[in-house]
Amino acid sequence: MSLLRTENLSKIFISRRGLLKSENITALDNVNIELNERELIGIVGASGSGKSTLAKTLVFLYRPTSGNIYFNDKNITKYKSGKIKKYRKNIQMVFQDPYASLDPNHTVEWHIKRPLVLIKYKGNINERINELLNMVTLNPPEYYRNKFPHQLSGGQRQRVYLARTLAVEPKILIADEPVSMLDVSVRIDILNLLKMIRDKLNLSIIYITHDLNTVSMITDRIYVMHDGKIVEKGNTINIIKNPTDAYTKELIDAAPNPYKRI
Amino acid sequence: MNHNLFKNRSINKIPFKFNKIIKPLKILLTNNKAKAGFIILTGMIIFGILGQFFTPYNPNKYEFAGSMPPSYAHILGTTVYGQDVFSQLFYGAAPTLLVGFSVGIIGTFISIFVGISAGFASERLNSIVTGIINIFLIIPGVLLIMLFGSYFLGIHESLGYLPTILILVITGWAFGARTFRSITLSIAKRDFILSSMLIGESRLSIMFRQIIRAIFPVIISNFFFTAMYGTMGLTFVEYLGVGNLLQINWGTMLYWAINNEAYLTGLWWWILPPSFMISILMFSFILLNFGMDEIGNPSLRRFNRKKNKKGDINEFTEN
Ligand SMILES: Nc1ncnc2c1ncn2[C@@H]1O[C@H](COP(=O)(O)OP(=O)(O)OP(=O)(O)O)[C@@H](O)[C@H]1O
Ligand SMILES: [Mg+2]
Repeated sequence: MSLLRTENLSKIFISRRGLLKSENITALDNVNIELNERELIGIVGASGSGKSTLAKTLVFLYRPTSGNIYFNDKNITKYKSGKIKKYRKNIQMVFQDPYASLDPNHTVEWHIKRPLVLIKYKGNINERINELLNMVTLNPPEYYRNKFPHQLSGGQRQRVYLARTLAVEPKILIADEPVSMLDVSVRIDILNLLKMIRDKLNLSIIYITHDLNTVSMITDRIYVMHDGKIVEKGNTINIIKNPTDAYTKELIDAAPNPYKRI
Repeated sequence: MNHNLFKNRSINKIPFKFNKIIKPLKILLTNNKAKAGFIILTGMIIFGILGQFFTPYNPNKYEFAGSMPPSYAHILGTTVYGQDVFSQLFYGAAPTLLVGFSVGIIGTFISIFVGISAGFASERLNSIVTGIINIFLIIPGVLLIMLFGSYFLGIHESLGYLPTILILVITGWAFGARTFRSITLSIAKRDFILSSMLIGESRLSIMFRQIIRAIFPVIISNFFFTAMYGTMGLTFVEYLGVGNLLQINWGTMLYWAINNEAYLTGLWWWILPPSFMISILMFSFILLNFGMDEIGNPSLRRFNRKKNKKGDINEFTEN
């Protein structure tokens, strides 16, 4: 039984050009993916291949044009506001840009406190905030709590954001290129953190990236996406070693070889 | 190391409450235009308050010889009717300011409420409210004022301050509402708002906790703009003669001066001071409006490197 599954999911954006002309952009084209419990899967694709659109559709920030979404084998595609709110307690998303996903007018503490208040956390909220900050390795928590986003580095922000999503206690985490805006040196730390979270909290994670190196480090399975279509799927190592699709080969050739570099 | 970190934090923490009042003011004073406007306006307010207590003569009484040029006893001379011009100017400052501020505050409140809810509510509500805003934008305020004014004249009543404020608010809120609506529409797409929707915040909570905070400089800027409209509107209402002409403010002063053709009879000391004061007041509102716009809109801001040399991080820089 899969935790989250899509069935021929499509999303077409209609962008207006002038008064009469309009252009259809097929961002998702019959996408079928499946996420099992405790799995860490990757979605790989170049810029503009529809990765973010897929992530946002899965958390209902976009409505699919056609196709279905199943959560615990239940069709949730037609969910409306109240039910969406309930569903979102199970699924959270980390955004691509940590410089935009935290509110510049609020402190770290506020960002983590709000979800705790909203899920009506039973225990001591104060202690829980420290616990979450510790979990994302922001030590000592007291030092970070009263900081504003602009006082933090990109890596620290992404950790704060991770703590915010974990406060909701979701079952699924979608990480949309969580390290693409970060320094190379911080990337490994954040990725290890994702892996650790999966192991410790039994989360299922969808890791979205354009970077084949990082995807091979942490994921079990990957989907390769090109122009809104899934062009290849399967075991990460197998695909990287023996790509069958021409586009995947291109991606692999374009990516710098990690073994050569290190 | 850790010790140091904690020390820093306790230093930051002590002036926290104090900061909440001082900080917006400090931000205001980082911008030269806003600073100039703020100084002028503060001067005006002090002038207005003092004017309620310390006028040299009774501003209402016709007790002197008419049309006297400025002299030691009457530094701005007297009117045709024998009133002391300076006393009138001094005494009339407060009502002029009060009307401006009231229109600014009430108008801004309405436009925040309407604008944000249009920008952040459902699509359908958005188009309905946008329609209403546009209707109010199309209605010429001047015409409405004249309409109300002539109605009041017709029933032999004159517009007191309260109805004047009301009319100015009705004709003046839509512009700000449109601004707030479009800013809210663009902020609602930002990741930190989407994030709040994902963790389950209600729209109302996002509006009050995040959007109002994010657009705060624009709110202040809009307040000054609406206050300017209020001052101008009052002057206009009084100038048309539809207001209560026994009230003393800079608008009625202008009315009487112009009605008695002060500009033809050479009574410049009667007509110039209220004109000058109104212009200066409007100028300060405009400066504050522009200044706050620059503070709130980074693309208008010329980045000041010197200010940041101390190592301070400019809080309003978009990171
Ligand atoms: N809101 C939107 N309106 C119209 N078109 C959109 C919208 N969002 C995305 N698109 C289009 O859909 C396509 C896929 O975009 P998407 O952001 O999903 O790509 P991506 O794989 O996340 O790319 P990147 O790696 O650059 O983040 C692009 O062609 C983009 O222009
Ligand atoms: Mg993307």
